[in-house]
Amino acid sequence: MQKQPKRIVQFYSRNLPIVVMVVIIILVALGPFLLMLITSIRFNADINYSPFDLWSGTYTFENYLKLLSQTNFLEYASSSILVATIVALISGCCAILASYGITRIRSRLSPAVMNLSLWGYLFSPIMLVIPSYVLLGSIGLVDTYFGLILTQLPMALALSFWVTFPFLRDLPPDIEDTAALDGASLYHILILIVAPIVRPALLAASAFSFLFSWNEYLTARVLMSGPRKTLPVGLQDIYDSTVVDWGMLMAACVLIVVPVLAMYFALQRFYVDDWGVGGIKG
Amino acid sequence: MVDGKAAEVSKNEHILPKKPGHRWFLLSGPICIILLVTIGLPVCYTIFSSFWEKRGYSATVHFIGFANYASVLTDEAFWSSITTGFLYAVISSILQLVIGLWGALFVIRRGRYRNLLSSIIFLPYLLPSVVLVILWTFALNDSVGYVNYVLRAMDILPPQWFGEATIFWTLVILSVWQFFPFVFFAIYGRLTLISSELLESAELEGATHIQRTWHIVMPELKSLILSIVVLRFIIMFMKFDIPWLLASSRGGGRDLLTPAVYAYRVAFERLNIGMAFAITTIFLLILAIVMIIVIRISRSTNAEAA
Repeated sequence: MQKQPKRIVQFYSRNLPIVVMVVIIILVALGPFLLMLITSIRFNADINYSPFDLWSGTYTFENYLKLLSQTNFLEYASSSILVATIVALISGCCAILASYGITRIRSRLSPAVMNLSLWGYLFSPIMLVIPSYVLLGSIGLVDTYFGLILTQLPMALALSFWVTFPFLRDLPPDIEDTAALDGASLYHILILIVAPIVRPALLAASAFSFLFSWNEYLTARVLMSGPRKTLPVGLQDIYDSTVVDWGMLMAACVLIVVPVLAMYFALQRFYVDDWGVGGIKG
Repeated sequence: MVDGKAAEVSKNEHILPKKPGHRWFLLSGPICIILLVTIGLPVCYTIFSSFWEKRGYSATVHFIGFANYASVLTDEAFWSSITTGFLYAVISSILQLVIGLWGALFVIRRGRYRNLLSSIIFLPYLLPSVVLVILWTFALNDSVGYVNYVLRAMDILPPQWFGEATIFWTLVILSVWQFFPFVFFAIYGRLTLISSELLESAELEGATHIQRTWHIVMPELKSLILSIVVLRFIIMFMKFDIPWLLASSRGGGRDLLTPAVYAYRVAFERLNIGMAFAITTIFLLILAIVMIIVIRISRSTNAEAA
């Protein structure tokens, strides 16, 4: 028992450069998150006094209460939840169906769909938002949830497609073949056999689309105003329009980021192993 | 996609060969229709409208041929935005690549801690750009920010993070912090696939760690790195939200004129819609060239693999 601490000290001193590097990596990646969290529960007087005097100050949830009572944060949150959920559902379902069709049925149109998705993947929102604003404006869909969903869909779809496509391509078709030989129809095969197997890909694709829509700034900025703003736009307006209140701003940041992190850690086991680049876009 | 796997479709195509077209449309139809409406239509409309004069959103239009393109190409701000965007894209992509590659090579050798480390490294990538900019504006703030606090404690004079000349470098730092995890994850994913047998036998032959990395690992990563560089370049070149938010928030009025910010200004501040369409058509051309490069790379990778 007495040797244990000595061994630990030896380990760390022998691997000192590596330990230092690991600490630096963690500080760089995680530090801003921790300071955001800590700042959100400190009083503004303490924040202005010193960024690091974390011991003598008192902690409070006042910033959160102020955020929820004095700003439209909850309205922004509900429109964000609505838009992101619908975008995630549509793009996840369409992407998984299309990936299934393209990997299982030979068609001359398949490369065209894939190229179109690659376009959507590389498309900068600025190239879509200007024509979409004019086109949606001409049919009165600016500042509606439907218009925003329509504008965010192509990028979310492309993202979902490049998550589900590799998954289905690498999935051996044997089980479905057996079922087809037994006389099951395409629809029975899809619902009873394929759906349970592809559920992780569907979940991951929908989660990525949700995150994309949740975080997206430009199209929401251009298309939405008033209470239908999404969270990033609403937060930016709170930041721009009031006297800077760092405690409240950090509380808002925490509330926006927490669902993202929760989703990330919940879904982590699905994408750590398999897909590298397919599922990420920035 | 980046690995060039796109070309090897229909490896598993099999069931129900009768009437494949009908079933293909049933499955892939929705995505086709949505993509045609939401990408195809705006793109066609953009190209068509770039030949018409339109000032203000309710204004009437006149056909003016290539005059919009002429006013874009003679606008000094356009060229300065291209220069800024190019510098920004090159510098931040290279930094992302260097840090991401180094990080992946470092983390992959950390045994049982590597999963934990890699998931921590991915976190900055998940932040919305608005939160990113607010968080860093706070961190770099002169009176309450902790970065300057630490720098002063180490007797370093903190730079003017948001000054006219230095805000570009602040932008680069923010972008690299947020996007190096993308490169990290792509390379890390590939590294986990490299067989350890070759590396072990090389170690037995007496190759040092650097030799092994250079002669065995790097050739495996070559094509991946090439596609990542192209992808990062085009995404950073067209980046809108970080430069826009960093320069304009709280009435900063400082200038970070990247191509996307320039297009936004022309469309929504100068209200010269026809000219904005000409700009986005030029961007479409740039994107098309990049697309051709990406597809070429993935084809040549496939040819090598076969």
